[in-house]
Amino acid sequence: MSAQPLIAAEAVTKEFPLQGSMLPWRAHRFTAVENVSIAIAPGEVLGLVGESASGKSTLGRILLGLIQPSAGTVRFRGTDLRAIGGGERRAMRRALQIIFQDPYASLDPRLTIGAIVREGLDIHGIGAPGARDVKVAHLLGRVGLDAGFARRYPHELSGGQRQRVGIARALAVEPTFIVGDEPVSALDVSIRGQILALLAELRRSMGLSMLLISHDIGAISQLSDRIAVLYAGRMIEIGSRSQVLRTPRHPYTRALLAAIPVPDPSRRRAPPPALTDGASASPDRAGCVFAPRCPHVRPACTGSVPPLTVLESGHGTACLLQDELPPAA
Amino acid sequence: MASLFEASAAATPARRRRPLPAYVIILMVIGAVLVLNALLAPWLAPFDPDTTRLLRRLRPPSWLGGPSESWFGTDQLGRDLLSRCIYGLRTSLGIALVGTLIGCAVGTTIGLISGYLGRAVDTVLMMLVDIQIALPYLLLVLVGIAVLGTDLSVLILLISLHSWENYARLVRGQVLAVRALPYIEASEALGASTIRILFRHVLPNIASPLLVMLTLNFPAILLLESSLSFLGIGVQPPTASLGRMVGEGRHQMLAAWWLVVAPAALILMVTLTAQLLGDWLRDRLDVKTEK
Repeated sequence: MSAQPLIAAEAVTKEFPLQGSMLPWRAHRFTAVENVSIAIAPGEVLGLVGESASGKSTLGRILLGLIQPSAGTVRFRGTDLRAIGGGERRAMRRALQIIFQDPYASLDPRLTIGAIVREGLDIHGIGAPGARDVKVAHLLGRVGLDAGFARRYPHELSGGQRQRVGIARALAVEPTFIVGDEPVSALDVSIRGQILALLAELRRSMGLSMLLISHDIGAISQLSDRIAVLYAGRMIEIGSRSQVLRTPRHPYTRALLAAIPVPDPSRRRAPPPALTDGASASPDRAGCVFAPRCPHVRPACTGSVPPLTVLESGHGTACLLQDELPPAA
Repeated sequence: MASLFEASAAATPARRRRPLPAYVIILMVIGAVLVLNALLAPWLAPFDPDTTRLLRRLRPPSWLGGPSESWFGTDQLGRDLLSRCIYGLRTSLGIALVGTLIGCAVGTTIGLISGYLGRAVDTVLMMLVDIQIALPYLLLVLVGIAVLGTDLSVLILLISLHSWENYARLVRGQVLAVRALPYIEASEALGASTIRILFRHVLPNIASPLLVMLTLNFPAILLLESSLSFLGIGVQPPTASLGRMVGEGRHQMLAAWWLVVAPAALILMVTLTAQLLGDWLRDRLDVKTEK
């Protein structure tokens, strides 16, 4: 972490106005992401885990510059995204790409696969116009698809093939950072392994940095160097893969890990810690957002926001009781 | 439009082989004959439509004992009715087509901008739409003609104002549905310009309902032109238009019924053909391959 991070969010917050008030300045707001700082080094893969509506996708899009944060800054190679203009902005758009969860809705049904992959080349004027189809064929080969797919339409492809097309589209502009927004969640288990292997291979060969977003900590843990856990818009735990998986310090992370099914009927884990069903889309933000569901909750938890305290090992947790909790099961 | 059809046809090879229903083929033939008539009016019409021959006024059609050279008979000024019908068709079809296309283009553009940009732009543009809906259209036309005159271009302009707000609403709604899809976001991430996203990704994907609306709107516009001309505030004499011919002929209704029946039958044919084709197109595109 001593080197300059490739991309870094500094205390970003994103609020969305809710419907219900005629006056925009009095509208209720939904806090999707609150005061999150995150830095991704060149070549690093960060896993971002959290349940639905925890702000994972919003954070990913903020890092890409597709959503403007309500507060805080995003720096790409040290420069504020908002300060970038003109030619640099185009370069930034090439460098930051995204892969989507839904392989059906992420490809324009009216365009051929070739046209979809080619779009980035056309926008950024990469290569001579005549040579771009050759490049498209090469890109399709790179993601394991036959060059003949270029003439087909998205509906003729299977989910896994479409996901490969989505990856080829992102790779076309030679990015340095890719956000994978639930890249394997919509795929069959067998296909999931293939796509994860492809991502791992691309990362090795191209030195890509990635932010892999998932609600399933198991799906992305193999590929991630570090893992961050988001809950209700706040980062509650971050650390290396082994730190988060082996010695989780936040009660929520522990519950998440305990919820991973074990594909072995003879091995039974201890029952997961009982979570109270107090989940709310907009919990009380004056204290710990996890307090309503936490099995270890104390009166102090609702009084103030627990800060993210980072150990020397780089393992950070936002929990008041982290030192008093029993060791993880 | 042709390329859109090709794209959707290529995307659904199974559908392409399904034969057209017989009535659709008949309607297409009728439509083609009518359009060809309008296009080739100067060569098809046996007489000049505006030449008056007062000695041959109000003659019945040739098959009802009239002069053999006037198949549809003559009007109160001795002009050949068949020639006037052909030219009237040309005028009415032309005005309706141009008016429909302008209205569609304006409405679509406003709908695209409104739906894609959202926020204040959307609020202002939709307010314009609401104003247009609230305005009595006929009043607007009367004021427009009183201020701007009875020129043909003014008429086309006013007619094209008739239904742009319908296109704007339709397109806006469709854009709102499409713009949230990941493939639009992927283009944004690639750095595509707003223009590129709107015309390459959004418009082709909302083309089907737009096309249906266009075909169903066309007969309404044609009827509108006919009504305005019938009232005397549309196409001005001596130019022939189907609506005007009905309007002029109604005074001779008892003595020379063919003066009303011939243009009225043409109006019916044109609007019915367009309407039925539009209905068929809507049914066909409704079950389109969204997935």
